[in-house]
Amino acid sequence: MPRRGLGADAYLLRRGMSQVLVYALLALTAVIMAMPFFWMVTTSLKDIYQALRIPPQWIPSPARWENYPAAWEAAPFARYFWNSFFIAATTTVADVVTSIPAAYALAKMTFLGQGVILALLLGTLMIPGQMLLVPSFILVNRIGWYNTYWVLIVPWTAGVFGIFLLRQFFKTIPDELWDSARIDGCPRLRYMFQIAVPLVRPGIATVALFKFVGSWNAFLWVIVMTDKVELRTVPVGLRYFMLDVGTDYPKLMAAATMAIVPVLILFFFAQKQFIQGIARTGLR
Amino acid sequence: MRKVAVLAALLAVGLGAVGQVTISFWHAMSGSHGDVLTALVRKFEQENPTIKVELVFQGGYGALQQKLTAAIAAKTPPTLAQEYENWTTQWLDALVDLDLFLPEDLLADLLPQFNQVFSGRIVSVPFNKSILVLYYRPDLVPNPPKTWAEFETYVTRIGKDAGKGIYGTAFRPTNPEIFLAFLEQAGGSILSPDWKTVTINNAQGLEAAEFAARLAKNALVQGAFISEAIAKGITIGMWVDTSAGYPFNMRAARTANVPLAVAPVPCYKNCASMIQGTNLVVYAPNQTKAQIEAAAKLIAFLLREDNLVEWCQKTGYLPVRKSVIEGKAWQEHIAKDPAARVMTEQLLAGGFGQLLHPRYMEMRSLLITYWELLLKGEETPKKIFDALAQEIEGLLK
Repeated sequence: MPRRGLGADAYLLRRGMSQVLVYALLALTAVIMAMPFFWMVTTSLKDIYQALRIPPQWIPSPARWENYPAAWEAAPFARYFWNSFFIAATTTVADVVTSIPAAYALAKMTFLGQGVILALLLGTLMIPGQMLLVPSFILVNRIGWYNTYWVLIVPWTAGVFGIFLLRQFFKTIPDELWDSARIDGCPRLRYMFQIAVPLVRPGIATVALFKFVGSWNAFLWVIVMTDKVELRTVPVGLRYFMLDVGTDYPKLMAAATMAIVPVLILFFFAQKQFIQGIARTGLR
Repeated sequence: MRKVAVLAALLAVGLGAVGQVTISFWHAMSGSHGDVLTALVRKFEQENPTIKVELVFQGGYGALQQKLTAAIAAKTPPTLAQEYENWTTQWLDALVDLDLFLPEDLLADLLPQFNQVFSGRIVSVPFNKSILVLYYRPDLVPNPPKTWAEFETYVTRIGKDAGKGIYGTAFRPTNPEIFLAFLEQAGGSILSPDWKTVTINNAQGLEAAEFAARLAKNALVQGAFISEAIAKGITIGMWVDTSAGYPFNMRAARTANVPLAVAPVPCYKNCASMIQGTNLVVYAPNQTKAQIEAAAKLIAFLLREDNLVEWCQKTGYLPVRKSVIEGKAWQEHIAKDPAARVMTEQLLAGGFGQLLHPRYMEMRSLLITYWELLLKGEETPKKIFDALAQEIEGLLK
C-alpha cells in the first residue's frame, strides 16, 4: 500500500508538473499571439515619437485618446464601417447559403463529372486574384455594375473555399444516416437542411467567420471597382494614414483598433463553433 | 409674381447645368498631402463654378497603377490622374497631348530637369516632385562629403557594427534610384542614347556599381524606411534618400534624440541626383473636349505660382516651374528653411528623371533584383551587372 501510495504521489506530482509546463507554454503562446494586438492598442494611444521608440514604451504616457477622434475624422469612417458591415454580412450569408448545397452534392451525391467539377473548382484557387482583376473590371463595366453595391456583393456570394471546407464536413457524416432517413421517407432536401446541416454547424461557423473576415479586409477589389466614397470600406480608410515616404502609426493603429472591433465581436459569439470547426478540419 | 420667380430660378439652374462639366481626378495622396490637394481642388471649383472635380483617392500608388491599368483596358479611365513616367510609357495612346491645351508659357516655364517628352509628345506635366539628397548626422559627419571619395572615407570610418547598431550608410533594395544617381554621376546610363545598346555594364556602369558595393560593406540594407531604423536608435552616419521623406526622417531623428541635417548628394564626374514623384496626365478615351479642357484648366491652376508654392510648402515637394523657384514667395521660403534651399539647389544643379523607354518598367524591376544582389555582396559587381545587362538586352529584343 505505501509503495502504491508513493507511486501515486509521484505520478500525481509528475502529472501536475507536466500540466504546469503545458499551461506555462500555453500562456507564453497566448502572450506572443496577443502581443501584436497589445502593440496595436497601445500604439493607438501614443504620439508618433513614443510609437517609434526602441526599446518600446509599452504603456503610453500620457495616453492620447484624441488619436481616435482624429483618425475617425481623417476619412468618412462612419460610412466605411456601415459599408464594410453590410457587404461582409451579406456576402457571408450568401456564401454559406450557396456553399451548403454545392458542398453537400459534392460530398454525398453521385453524378456524372463530379470529380472533374471538384477539380475545376479547386483549380480556381490556384489563379492569383490580380490576374483576374483587369478582365473582371472590363466585365463589370460592360454590365454596368461599376460603382454599385452589386459588384461588391454578387461576385462574392459563392466561394470555392466554403464549398471545399463544407464538403469535408459533410463527408464525415455516415451514409447510414441518409439510408435511415430515406427508409423513413425523408426527401433529400429536408434531410440536408434538417439533419445534415445541424451536424456540420462548426464547419458553417468556420466558413462564415473566414468569409466575414476576408470580406471585411478586402481592399483591392473595392478600390478598383468603385470610385465613390459612399461605396468604400474600412481598409480603404486605413490607407489614409500611409504615405509613400512614411506612416502615421498612432492614427493608423487607432483606426485599425476600431476596424477590428466588429470582427472580435463576431469571433466572441462564434468562437465555440469556430474552434470546433478548426479542430475538425485540421486548418491552421 | 411667384410663378415668374420660380421660372427664373429654374431657368438659371438650367443654364448653369448646361455649362456644367464634371471631371474625375484619381490620385494617391493620402494623409496631410491629400488634405492639401483637396483644399486646392475646392479652391479651383470656387474659382470655376461650372467645373466639378470628383477627386478620388485610390489607396496608394500600387492600387492606383492597378486601377489605371484596368480602366485603360476597359476604355474607362478618369479625366485626370497622377502617374509615374514608367506607367505613362505603357499607355501613351490613351493620353492627351497637353501642348494642345496648356498655355505655351506654362510649358516653357517647366524646368527642363523634368523631361516630359515621350516619343516626341508632351503628355504629362510634373506635379509632386522630390529629389534625392544626402541626410547626415552632424555629430558623426561634421562636414558633409562633397565627393565620392569623401563619402566613402566617412562611411568606412564610421564602419559597421551590426551588434551595436552602427552603420556608415544605409540602402533600400527597393530603391534602385540611388544607384541610378551614382550611375549618372559616373557618366553612365542604362542604355545608349539611341536606346539600341545596353550600357549599364560598361566601364562607367561598373565604376558606379563598384562604388555602391564598397559602400554596402558598411551599410544597413533593409526594406523598411530608413527613418524607422533611425527612430529605433540605429546609428547611421549618412544616407541618400528622397527629399519627400524629410519630415519623417527629421521626426525619427527627434525620436532618437540625434541631430540630422541635409546636404547635396556627393558628386563625382557631375552632381546628378534623381528626381522622384509623379506627374499629371489627361486621358482621351471616354472624355469630351469640354472635360479635357477643364482638366487642363485644373492643371494650369495647380501650377499657378500661389497654388504651387502653397502645395510645396505644405507637402515638402519641389516647385516644378522656373519662375516659381525664382519667385519672391519661394525665395523667401528657402531663406527661412535651409533644408528646402538644399533640395531646391540640388534639383537645379543635377536633377534628372526616369528613362522614358517603353520597357523601363520591366527594366526597373530587373534593376531592383540586381541592386539587391549588389548590396548583399554575394557576387562581384561585374558578374551581377553583366547578368543584368543580358536580361535588359533580352527585353530590348
